[in-house]
Amino acid sequence: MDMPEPPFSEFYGAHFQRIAVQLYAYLGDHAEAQDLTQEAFCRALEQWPRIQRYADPAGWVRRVAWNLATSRLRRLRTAIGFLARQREQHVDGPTPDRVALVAALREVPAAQRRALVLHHLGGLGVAEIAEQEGVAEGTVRSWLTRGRARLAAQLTPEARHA
Amino acid sequence: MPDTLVEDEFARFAEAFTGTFRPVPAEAMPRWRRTRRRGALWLAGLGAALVAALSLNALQPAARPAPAPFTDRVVRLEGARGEMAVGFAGRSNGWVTFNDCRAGGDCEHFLGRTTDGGLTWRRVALPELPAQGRLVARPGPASALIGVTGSPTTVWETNDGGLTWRSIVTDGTSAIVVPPSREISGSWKVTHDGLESHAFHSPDRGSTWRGLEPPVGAEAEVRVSADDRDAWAIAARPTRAWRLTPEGTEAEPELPAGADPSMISAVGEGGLLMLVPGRGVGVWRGGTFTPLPAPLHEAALPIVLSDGAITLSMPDGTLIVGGEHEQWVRYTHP
Repeated sequence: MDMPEPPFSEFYGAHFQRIAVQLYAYLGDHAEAQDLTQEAFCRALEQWPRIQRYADPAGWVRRVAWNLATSRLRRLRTAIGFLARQREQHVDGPTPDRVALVAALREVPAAQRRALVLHHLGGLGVAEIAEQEGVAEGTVRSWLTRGRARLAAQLTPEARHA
Repeated sequence: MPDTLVEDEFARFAEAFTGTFRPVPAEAMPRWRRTRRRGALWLAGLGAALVAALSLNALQPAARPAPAPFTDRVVRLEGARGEMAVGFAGRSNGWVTFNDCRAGGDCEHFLGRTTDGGLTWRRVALPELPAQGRLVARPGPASALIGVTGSPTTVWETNDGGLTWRSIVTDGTSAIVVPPSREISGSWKVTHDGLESHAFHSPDRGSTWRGLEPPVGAEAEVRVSADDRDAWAIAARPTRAWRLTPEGTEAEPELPAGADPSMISAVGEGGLLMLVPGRGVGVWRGGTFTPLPAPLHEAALPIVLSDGAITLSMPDGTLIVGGEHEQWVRYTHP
Protein backbone atom coordinates (compact mmCIF):
# COMPACT_ATOMS: atom_id res chain seq x y z
CA MET A 1 0.00 0.00 0.00
CA ASP A 2 1.54 3.30 -1.05
CA MET A 3 1.52 6.36 1.14
CA PRO A 4 -1.48 8.58 0.57
CA GLU A 5 -1.41 11.66 -1.59
CA PRO A 6 -2.30 14.87 0.23
CA PRO A 7 -5.93 14.85 -0.96
CA PHE A 8 -6.55 11.59 0.85
CA SER A 9 -5.50 13.02 4.18
CA GLU A 10 -7.84 15.94 3.70
CA PHE A 11 -10.65 13.69 2.61
CA TYR A 12 -9.98 11.35 5.54
CA GLY A 13 -10.00 14.15 8.07
CA ALA A 14 -13.12 15.71 6.65
CA HIS A 15 -15.33 12.63 6.63
CA PHE A 16 -14.17 10.17 9.29
CA GLN A 17 -16.11 11.55 12.23
CA ARG A 18 -19.33 11.97 10.29
CA ILE A 19 -19.38 8.39 9.07
CA ALA A 20 -18.29 7.00 12.44
CA VAL A 21 -21.13 8.84 14.18
CA GLN A 22 -23.61 7.28 11.75
CA LEU A 23 -22.31 3.81 12.42
CA TYR A 24 -22.36 4.40 16.15
CA ALA A 25 -26.02 5.34 16.00
CA TYR A 26 -26.76 2.26 13.92
CA LEU A 27 -24.63 -0.27 15.81
CA GLY A 28 -24.84 1.19 19.30
CA ASP A 29 -21.17 0.38 19.86
CA HIS A 30 -18.62 3.19 19.81
CA ALA A 31 -15.54 0.98 19.36
CA GLU A 32 -17.18 -1.03 16.61
CA ALA A 33 -18.16 2.13 14.79
CA GLN A 34 -14.60 3.40 14.92
CA ASP A 35 -13.17 0.06 13.81
CA LEU A 36 -15.48 -0.33 10.82
CA THR A 37 -15.06 3.26 9.73
CA GLN A 38 -11.31 2.79 9.91
CA GLU A 39 -11.56 -0.34 7.77
CA ALA A 40 -13.67 1.47 5.19
CA PHE A 41 -11.14 4.28 4.90
CA CYS A 42 -8.30 1.74 4.64
CA ARG A 43 -10.06 0.22 1.65
CA ALA A 44 -10.45 3.67 0.18
CA LEU A 45 -6.75 4.35 0.67
CA GLU A 46 -5.85 1.13 -1.15
CA GLN A 47 -7.82 2.26 -4.19
CA TRP A 48 -7.48 6.00 -3.76
CA PRO A 49 -6.16 6.82 -7.25
CA ARG A 50 -9.39 5.41 -8.68
CA ILE A 51 -11.82 6.43 -5.96
CA GLN A 52 -10.70 10.05 -5.86
CA ARG A 53 -11.97 10.38 -9.40
CA TYR A 54 -15.49 9.35 -8.36
CA ALA A 55 -18.13 12.03 -8.17
CA ASP A 56 -18.74 11.20 -4.51
CA PRO A 57 -15.76 9.45 -2.88
CA ALA A 58 -17.33 9.95 0.56
CA GLY A 59 -20.41 8.13 -0.66
CA TRP A 60 -18.23 5.19 -1.66
CA VAL A 61 -16.64 5.03 1.78
CA ARG A 62 -20.02 5.45 3.46
CA ARG A 63 -21.43 2.58 1.46
CA VAL A 64 -18.49 0.32 2.27
CA ALA A 65 -18.72 1.23 5.95
CA TRP A 66 -22.44 0.51 6.02
CA ASN A 67 -21.97 -2.79 4.23
CA LEU A 68 -19.39 -3.76 6.82
CA ALA A 69 -21.70 -2.64 9.62
CA THR A 70 -24.67 -4.54 8.28
CA SER A 71 -22.60 -7.66 7.81
CA ARG A 72 -20.98 -7.28 11.20
CA LEU A 73 -24.26 -6.69 12.95
CA ARG A 74 -25.74 -9.77 11.38
CA ARG A 75 -22.79 -11.91 12.39
CA LEU A 76 -22.02 -10.52 15.78
CA ARG A 77 -25.37 -9.32 16.99
CA THR A 78 -25.08 -11.39 20.09
CA ALA A 79 -21.34 -11.52 20.54
CA ILE A 80 -20.99 -7.76 20.53
CA GLY A 81 -22.72 -7.48 23.85
CA PHE A 82 -20.89 -10.45 25.28
CA LEU A 83 -17.42 -9.35 24.29
CA ALA A 84 -17.99 -5.71 25.00
CA ARG A 85 -18.44 -6.62 28.62
CA GLN A 86 -15.01 -8.25 28.65
CA ARG A 87 -12.81 -5.74 26.94
CA GLU A 88 -11.20 -2.57 28.10
CA GLN A 89 -12.85 0.72 27.33
CA HIS A 90 -10.75 3.06 25.22
CA VAL A 91 -12.97 6.10 25.48
CA ASP A 92 -14.94 7.68 28.26
CA GLY A 93 -18.32 6.11 28.63
CA PRO A 94 -21.14 8.16 27.20
CA THR A 95 -23.57 9.65 29.62
CA PRO A 96 -27.11 8.23 29.86
CA ASP A 97 -28.53 11.26 28.09
CA ARG A 98 -26.21 10.84 25.17
CA VAL A 99 -27.00 7.17 24.67
CA ALA A 100 -30.75 7.68 24.89
CA LEU A 101 -30.89 7.78 21.12
CA VAL A 102 -28.79 4.63 20.82
CA ALA A 103 -31.07 2.83 23.25
CA ALA A 104 -34.17 4.07 21.47
CA LEU A 105 -32.83 3.10 18.06
CA ARG A 106 -32.28 -0.45 19.28
CA GLU A 107 -36.06 -0.76 19.47
CA VAL A 108 -36.44 0.21 15.82
CA PRO A 109 -36.24 -2.50 13.13
CA ALA A 110 -32.89 -2.56 11.36
CA ALA A 111 -34.10 -1.33 7.97
CA GLN A 112 -35.98 1.59 9.52
CA ARG A 113 -32.99 2.32 11.73
CA ARG A 114 -30.65 2.44 8.72
CA ALA A 115 -32.99 4.79 6.91
CA LEU A 116 -33.32 7.09 9.91
CA VAL A 117 -29.59 7.30 10.52
CA LEU A 118 -28.74 7.79 6.87
CA HIS A 119 -31.34 10.54 6.58
CA HIS A 120 -30.84 12.40 9.85
CA LEU A 121 -27.11 11.89 10.41
CA GLY A 122 -25.87 11.16 6.90
CA GLY A 123 -27.97 13.84 5.29
CA LEU A 124 -29.12 11.51 2.52
CA GLY A 125 -32.36 12.05 0.66
CA VAL A 126 -34.97 9.42 0.01
CA ALA A 127 -33.63 8.66 -3.46
CA GLU A 128 -30.06 8.26 -2.21
CA ILE A 129 -31.12 5.91 0.57
CA ALA A 130 -33.20 3.90 -1.88
CA GLU A 131 -30.20 3.59 -4.16
CA GLN A 132 -27.89 2.51 -1.35
CA GLU A 133 -30.35 0.00 0.08
CA GLY A 134 -31.50 -1.30 -3.27
CA VAL A 135 -35.20 -0.67 -2.64
CA ALA A 136 -37.94 1.57 -4.03
CA GLU A 137 -38.22 5.16 -2.85
CA GLY A 138 -41.69 4.43 -1.51
CA THR A 139 -40.22 1.78 0.71
CA VAL A 140 -37.73 4.27 2.12
CA ARG A 141 -40.49 6.80 2.78
CA SER A 142 -42.42 4.12 4.61
CA TRP A 143 -39.35 3.18 6.64
CA LEU A 144 -38.78 6.79 7.61
CA THR A 145 -42.38 7.41 8.60
CA ARG A 146 -42.73 4.27 10.65
CA GLY A 147 -39.22 4.59 12.06
CA ARG A 148 -39.79 8.16 13.20
CA ALA A 149 -43.02 7.23 14.92
CA ARG A 150 -41.46 4.30 16.67
CA LEU A 151 -38.36 6.25 17.64
CA ALA A 152 -40.39 9.18 18.92
CA ALA A 153 -42.40 6.82 21.09
CA GLN A 154 -39.17 5.51 22.56
CA LEU A 155 -37.88 9.00 23.24
CA THR A 156 -40.79 10.19 25.33
CA PRO A 157 -39.98 10.81 29.01
CA GLU A 158 -42.29 7.94 29.94
CA ALA A 159 -40.47 5.51 27.67
CA ARG A 160 -37.06 6.67 28.88
CA HIS A 161 -37.98 5.95 32.47
CA ALA A 162 -39.85 2.74 31.76
CA MET B 1 -44.12 16.74 16.61
CA PRO B 2 -42.40 13.35 16.31
CA ASP B 3 -40.38 14.71 13.37
CA THR B 4 -39.11 17.64 15.44
CA LEU B 5 -38.32 15.46 18.41
CA VAL B 6 -36.43 12.98 16.27
CA GLU B 7 -34.60 15.70 14.37
CA ASP B 8 -33.52 17.39 17.59
CA GLU B 9 -32.39 14.12 19.12
CA PHE B 10 -30.23 13.26 16.13
CA ALA B 11 -28.75 16.76 16.12
CA ARG B 12 -27.81 16.48 19.79
CA PHE B 13 -26.36 13.05 19.18
CA ALA B 14 -24.20 14.26 16.29
CA GLU B 15 -22.99 17.20 18.33
CA ALA B 16 -22.17 15.01 21.31
CA PHE B 17 -20.21 12.37 19.46
CA THR B 18 -18.55 14.14 16.56
CA GLY B 19 -14.92 14.34 17.60
CA THR B 20 -15.04 11.42 20.01
CA PHE B 21 -13.59 8.94 17.50
CA ARG B 22 -9.87 8.50 17.14
CA PRO B 23 -8.93 7.77 13.55
CA VAL B 24 -5.54 6.18 13.02
CA PRO B 25 -3.15 8.71 11.43
CA ALA B 26 -3.21 8.32 7.66
CA GLU B 27 0.45 7.34 7.52
CA ALA B 28 -0.20 4.53 10.02
CA MET B 29 -3.20 3.07 8.22
CA PRO B 30 -1.29 0.40 6.26
CA ARG B 31 0.25 -0.90 9.48
CA TRP B 32 -3.13 -0.77 11.26
CA ARG B 33 -4.65 -2.87 8.50
CA ARG B 34 -1.88 -5.45 8.53
CA THR B 35 -2.05 -5.77 12.28
CA ARG B 36 -5.79 -5.98 12.27
CA ARG B 37 -5.77 -8.75 9.70
CA ARG B 38 -3.10 -10.71 11.51
CA GLY B 39 -4.93 -10.41 14.79
CA ALA B 40 -8.28 -11.14 13.32
CA LEU B 41 -8.59 -14.87 13.54
CA TRP B 42 -7.80 -15.37 17.16
CA LEU B 43 -11.03 -13.80 18.26
CA ALA B 44 -13.05 -14.47 15.17
CA GLY B 45 -13.76 -18.02 16.17
CA LEU B 46 -14.96 -16.98 19.57
CA GLY B 47 -17.16 -14.17 18.31
CA ALA B 48 -18.65 -15.99 15.39
CA ALA B 49 -19.20 -19.10 17.43
CA LEU B 50 -21.09 -17.16 20.03
CA VAL B 51 -23.25 -15.44 17.50
CA ALA B 52 -24.06 -18.44 15.46
CA ALA B 53 -24.57 -20.57 18.52
CA LEU B 54 -26.95 -18.23 20.17
CA SER B 55 -28.78 -17.24 17.02
CA LEU B 56 -29.18 -20.81 15.95
CA ASN B 57 -30.39 -21.71 19.40
CA ALA B 58 -32.96 -18.98 19.17
CA LEU B 59 -34.14 -20.27 15.86
CA GLN B 60 -34.20 -23.88 16.95
CA PRO B 61 -35.17 -23.95 20.59
CA ALA B 62 -36.53 -27.46 20.45
CA ALA B 63 -33.48 -29.46 19.41
CA ARG B 64 -34.30 -33.11 19.76
CA PRO B 65 -31.93 -35.83 20.91
CA ALA B 66 -30.52 -37.99 18.15
CA PRO B 67 -27.95 -40.76 17.85
CA ALA B 68 -24.53 -39.16 17.93
CA PRO B 69 -22.72 -39.45 14.59
CA PHE B 70 -19.39 -38.81 16.32
CA THR B 71 -17.06 -40.34 18.85
CA ASP B 72 -15.82 -38.54 21.94
CA ARG B 73 -12.15 -37.87 22.59
CA VAL B 74 -11.19 -36.40 25.97
CA VAL B 75 -8.56 -33.65 25.99
CA ARG B 76 -6.13 -34.54 28.75
CA LEU B 77 -3.52 -31.84 29.41
CA GLU B 78 -1.38 -32.35 32.47
CA GLY B 79 -2.04 -29.85 35.23
CA ALA B 80 -4.54 -27.81 33.24
CA ARG B 81 -7.90 -26.76 34.63
CA GLY B 82 -10.69 -24.36 33.93
CA GLU B 83 -12.73 -23.52 30.86
CA MET B 84 -11.43 -25.32 27.77
CA ALA B 85 -11.34 -24.23 24.14
CA VAL B 86 -9.96 -26.41 21.34
CA GLY B 87 -8.90 -25.32 17.88
CA PHE B 88 -7.47 -27.32 15.00
CA ALA B 89 -5.39 -26.27 12.01
CA GLY B 90 -5.83 -29.64 10.32
CA ARG B 91 -6.87 -33.18 11.08
CA SER B 92 -3.76 -33.76 13.21
CA ASN B 93 -2.57 -30.40 14.50
CA GLY B 94 -4.50 -28.69 17.22
CA TRP B 95 -4.19 -26.37 20.18
CA VAL B 96 -6.10 -26.16 23.43
CA THR B 97 -6.45 -23.37 25.96
CA PHE B 98 -7.68 -23.64 29.51
CA ASN B 99 -8.77 -20.53 31.40
CA ASP B 100 -9.14 -20.76 35.13
CA CYS B 101 -10.61 -17.40 36.10
CA ARG B 102 -11.80 -16.33 39.51
CA ALA B 103 -13.86 -13.42 40.75
CA GLY B 104 -12.09 -10.14 40.20
CA GLY B 105 -10.64 -11.14 36.86
CA ASP B 106 -7.66 -13.09 38.20
CA CYS B 107 -6.98 -15.83 35.65
CA GLU B 108 -4.55 -18.67 35.21
CA HIS B 109 -3.93 -19.82 31.66
CA PHE B 110 -2.78 -23.12 30.20
CA LEU B 111 -1.85 -23.91 26.63
CA GLY B 112 -1.32 -27.29 24.98
CA ARG B 113 -1.01 -28.79 21.53
CA THR B 114 -1.49 -32.07 19.74
CA THR B 115 0.04 -33.43 16.56
CA ASP B 116 -1.88 -36.70 16.48
CA GLY B 117 -5.46 -35.58 16.15
CA GLY B 118 -5.99 -35.17 19.88
CA LEU B 119 -4.96 -38.64 21.00
CA THR B 120 -2.23 -37.03 23.12
CA TRP B 121 -1.68 -33.45 24.29
CA ARG B 122 1.39 -31.78 25.75
CA ARG B 123 1.80 -28.57 27.69
CA VAL B 124 3.31 -25.56 25.96
CA ALA B 125 5.00 -22.90 28.07
CA LEU B 126 3.32 -19.54 27.81
CA PRO B 127 4.93 -16.13 27.62
CA GLU B 128 4.13 -13.75 30.44
CA LEU B 129 0.52 -12.75 30.04
CA PRO B 130 -1.59 -10.21 31.85
CA ALA B 131 -3.68 -12.07 34.38
CA GLN B 132 -6.96 -10.80 33.05
CA GLY B 133 -9.41 -11.87 30.43
CA ARG B 134 -9.78 -15.07 28.52
CA LEU B 135 -6.98 -16.71 26.58
CA VAL B 136 -7.85 -17.37 22.97
CA ALA B 137 -5.64 -18.91 20.31
CA ARG B 138 -5.54 -19.02 16.55
CA PRO B 139 -4.30 -22.44 15.59
CA GLY B 140 -1.73 -23.22 12.96
CA PRO B 141 0.18 -26.44 12.27
CA ALA B 142 3.26 -25.30 14.17
CA SER B 143 2.14 -21.85 15.09
CA ALA B 144 -0.25 -20.14 17.39
CA LEU B 145 -1.27 -16.57 17.83
CA ILE B 146 -2.61 -15.98 21.29
CA GLY B 147 -4.11 -13.06 23.07
CA VAL B 148 -6.26 -12.22 26.03
CA THR B 149 -9.70 -10.72 25.65
CA GLY B 150 -9.89 -7.37 27.33
CA SER B 151 -6.31 -6.53 26.48
CA PRO B 152 -6.10 -6.31 22.72
CA THR B 153 -2.66 -4.74 22.80
CA THR B 154 -1.15 -8.00 24.05
CA VAL B 155 -0.80 -10.59 21.32
CA TRP B 156 1.90 -13.25 21.21
CA GLU B 157 2.93 -15.46 18.34
CA THR B 158 4.92 -18.66 18.08
CA ASN B 159 5.99 -20.32 14.89
CA ASP B 160 7.89 -23.23 16.40
CA GLY B 161 5.25 -25.01 18.40
CA GLY B 162 5.67 -22.83 21.46
CA LEU B 163 9.45 -23.00 21.94
CA THR B 164 9.81 -19.29 21.38
CA TRP B 165 7.33 -16.44 21.38
CA ARG B 166 7.35 -12.90 20.15
CA SER B 167 4.95 -10.11 20.96
CA ILE B 168 3.06 -8.30 18.27
CA VAL B 169 2.32 -4.68 18.92
CA THR B 170 -1.18 -3.72 17.95
CA ASP B 171 -2.83 -0.36 17.84
CA GLY B 172 -5.16 -1.07 20.71
CA THR B 173 -8.15 -1.14 18.45
CA SER B 174 -11.34 -3.01 19.08
CA ALA B 175 -11.05 -6.53 20.35
CA ILE B 176 -13.98 -7.63 18.24
CA VAL B 177 -12.68 -8.76 14.90
CA VAL B 178 -13.77 -10.75 11.89
CA PRO B 179 -11.93 -13.18 9.65
CA PRO B 180 -9.79 -11.33 7.13
CA SER B 181 -11.07 -11.04 3.62
CA ARG B 182 -9.51 -13.68 1.38
CA GLU B 183 -9.33 -11.56 -1.72
CA ILE B 184 -6.36 -13.47 -3.03
CA SER B 185 -6.15 -17.22 -2.89
CA GLY B 186 -3.35 -18.66 -4.96
CA SER B 187 -4.53 -18.56 -8.53
CA TRP B 188 -7.73 -16.59 -7.92
CA LYS B 189 -8.65 -13.19 -6.67
CA VAL B 190 -11.51 -10.74 -6.75
CA THR B 191 -11.56 -6.98 -6.54
CA HIS B 192 -14.50 -4.91 -5.36
CA ASP B 193 -16.03 -2.17 -7.42
CA GLY B 194 -19.21 -0.78 -5.92
CA LEU B 195 -22.15 -3.01 -6.62
CA GLU B 196 -20.10 -5.65 -8.43
CA SER B 197 -16.82 -7.50 -8.12
CA HIS B 198 -14.33 -8.65 -10.72
CA ALA B 199 -12.73 -12.09 -10.62
CA PHE B 200 -9.25 -12.87 -11.91
CA HIS B 201 -7.29 -16.02 -12.61
CA SER B 202 -3.53 -16.41 -12.63
CA PRO B 203 -2.03 -19.31 -14.58
CA ASP B 204 1.39 -18.69 -12.99
CA ARG B 205 0.58 -18.35 -9.29
CA GLY B 206 0.23 -14.64 -9.21
CA SER B 207 2.74 -13.32 -11.73
CA THR B 208 0.10 -12.39 -14.27
CA TRP B 209 -3.66 -12.08 -13.94
CA ARG B 210 -6.47 -12.40 -16.43
CA GLY B 211 -9.89 -10.88 -15.80
CA LEU B 212 -12.88 -13.22 -15.89
CA GLU B 213 -16.25 -12.32 -17.34
CA PRO B 214 -18.96 -11.62 -16.46
CA PRO B 215 -18.53 -9.64 -13.22
CA VAL B 216 -19.83 -11.18 -10.02
CA GLY B 217 -21.82 -9.67 -7.14
CA ALA B 218 -20.92 -7.02 -4.58
CA GLU B 219 -18.30 -7.60 -1.90
CA ALA B 220 -17.39 -11.03 -3.30
CA GLU B 221 -14.68 -13.18 -1.77
CA VAL B 222 -12.82 -16.17 -3.15
CA ARG B 223 -13.30 -19.64 -1.72
CA VAL B 224 -11.10 -22.49 -2.92
CA SER B 225 -11.49 -26.13 -1.92
CA ALA B 226 -8.62 -27.85 -0.15
CA ASP B 227 -7.86 -29.96 -3.22
CA ASP B 228 -7.71 -26.79 -5.37
CA ARG B 229 -10.27 -28.24 -7.76
CA ASP B 230 -13.14 -25.90 -6.94
CA ALA B 231 -12.92 -22.13 -6.92
CA TRP B 232 -15.84 -19.89 -6.09
CA ALA B 233 -16.69 -16.25 -5.74
CA ILE B 234 -19.18 -15.69 -2.94
CA ALA B 235 -20.94 -12.33 -3.06
CA ALA B 236 -22.34 -10.75 0.05
CA ARG B 237 -25.16 -8.49 -1.03
CA PRO B 238 -27.17 -10.45 -1.91
CA THR B 239 -25.56 -13.77 -1.08
CA ARG B 240 -24.79 -15.50 -4.38
CA ALA B 241 -22.21 -17.95 -5.66
CA TRP B 242 -20.28 -18.02 -8.93
CA ARG B 243 -18.09 -20.91 -9.98
CA LEU B 244 -14.70 -19.72 -11.23
CA THR B 245 -12.83 -21.38 -14.07
CA PRO B 246 -9.89 -20.08 -16.09
CA GLU B 247 -12.40 -19.38 -18.87
CA GLY B 248 -14.79 -17.24 -16.87
CA THR B 249 -17.40 -17.04 -14.14
CA GLU B 250 -20.65 -18.97 -14.02
CA ALA B 251 -23.53 -18.03 -11.75
CA GLU B 252 -24.86 -20.88 -9.63
CA PRO B 253 -28.50 -21.38 -8.63
CA GLU B 254 -29.75 -19.25 -5.76
CA LEU B 255 -28.33 -20.17 -2.39
CA PRO B 256 -30.64 -20.90 0.54
CA ALA B 257 -32.22 -17.73 1.91
CA GLY B 258 -30.30 -16.15 4.74
CA ALA B 259 -27.03 -18.01 4.17
CA ASP B 260 -24.28 -15.95 5.75
CA PRO B 261 -21.59 -15.35 3.10
CA SER B 262 -18.89 -15.15 5.75
CA MET B 263 -19.62 -18.72 6.77
CA ILE B 264 -19.54 -20.32 3.34
CA SER B 265 -16.58 -22.55 2.54
CA ALA B 266 -15.65 -24.75 -0.42
CA VAL B 267 -15.85 -28.33 0.74
CA GLY B 268 -14.83 -30.04 -2.50
CA GLU B 269 -16.71 -32.08 -5.11
CA GLY B 270 -18.70 -29.00 -6.07
CA GLY B 271 -20.02 -28.45 -2.58
CA LEU B 272 -20.25 -25.42 -0.34
CA LEU B 273 -20.45 -25.77 3.41
CA MET B 274 -22.72 -23.13 4.87
CA LEU B 275 -24.85 -22.13 7.81
CA VAL B 276 -28.48 -21.45 6.95
CA PRO B 277 -30.72 -19.83 9.58
CA GLY B 278 -33.45 -22.23 10.60
CA ARG B 279 -31.84 -25.19 8.82
CA GLY B 280 -28.41 -25.24 10.35
CA VAL B 281 -25.09 -26.29 8.87
CA GLY B 282 -25.07 -28.32 5.71
CA VAL B 283 -23.65 -28.76 2.27
CA TRP B 284 -25.11 -27.06 -0.80
CA ARG B 285 -24.35 -28.89 -4.00
CA GLY B 286 -25.91 -28.43 -7.41
CA GLY B 287 -28.69 -26.25 -6.06
CA THR B 288 -29.68 -28.57 -3.21
CA PHE B 289 -28.96 -27.93 0.45
CA THR B 290 -28.50 -30.99 2.66
CA PRO B 291 -28.09 -30.41 6.41
CA LEU B 292 -25.41 -32.38 8.22
CA PRO B 293 -26.76 -35.25 10.33
CA ALA B 294 -28.14 -34.24 13.72
CA PRO B 295 -26.76 -32.84 15.89
CA LEU B 296 -23.87 -31.75 13.67
CA HIS B 297 -26.19 -29.40 11.80
CA GLU B 298 -26.59 -27.40 15.03
CA ALA B 299 -22.96 -26.31 14.82
CA ALA B 300 -22.39 -22.64 15.39
CA LEU B 301 -19.29 -22.08 13.33
CA PRO B 302 -18.41 -24.39 10.43
CA ILE B 303 -14.89 -24.06 9.07
CA VAL B 304 -13.09 -25.99 6.34
CA LEU B 305 -9.40 -26.33 7.20
CA SER B 306 -6.52 -26.19 4.75
CA ASP B 307 -6.36 -29.99 4.52
CA GLY B 308 -10.10 -30.28 3.90
CA ALA B 309 -11.12 -31.31 7.41
CA ILE B 310 -14.21 -29.61 8.79
CA THR B 311 -14.39 -28.18 12.29
CA LEU B 312 -17.75 -27.55 13.89
CA SER B 313 -18.04 -25.37 16.98
CA MET B 314 -21.04 -26.69 18.83
CA PRO B 315 -23.47 -24.65 20.93
CA ASP B 316 -22.29 -26.42 24.09
CA GLY B 317 -18.75 -25.15 23.51
CA THR B 318 -17.27 -28.40 22.26
CA LEU B 319 -15.49 -28.82 18.96
CA ILE B 320 -16.16 -31.59 16.45
CA VAL B 321 -13.66 -32.34 13.68
CA GLY B 322 -14.23 -34.61 10.70
CA GLY B 323 -15.54 -34.49 7.16
CA GLU B 324 -18.44 -35.30 4.90
CA HIS B 325 -17.18 -38.80 4.24
CA GLU B 326 -15.04 -39.21 7.35
CA GLN B 327 -15.39 -40.04 11.00
CA TRP B 328 -16.38 -37.12 13.25
CA VAL B 329 -14.59 -36.67 16.59
CA ARG B 330 -15.87 -34.52 19.42
CA TYR B 331 -13.23 -33.09 21.81
CA THR B 332 -14.49 -32.95 25.35
CA HIS B 333 -13.38 -31.60 28.70
CA PRO B 334 -11.72 -34.11 31.08
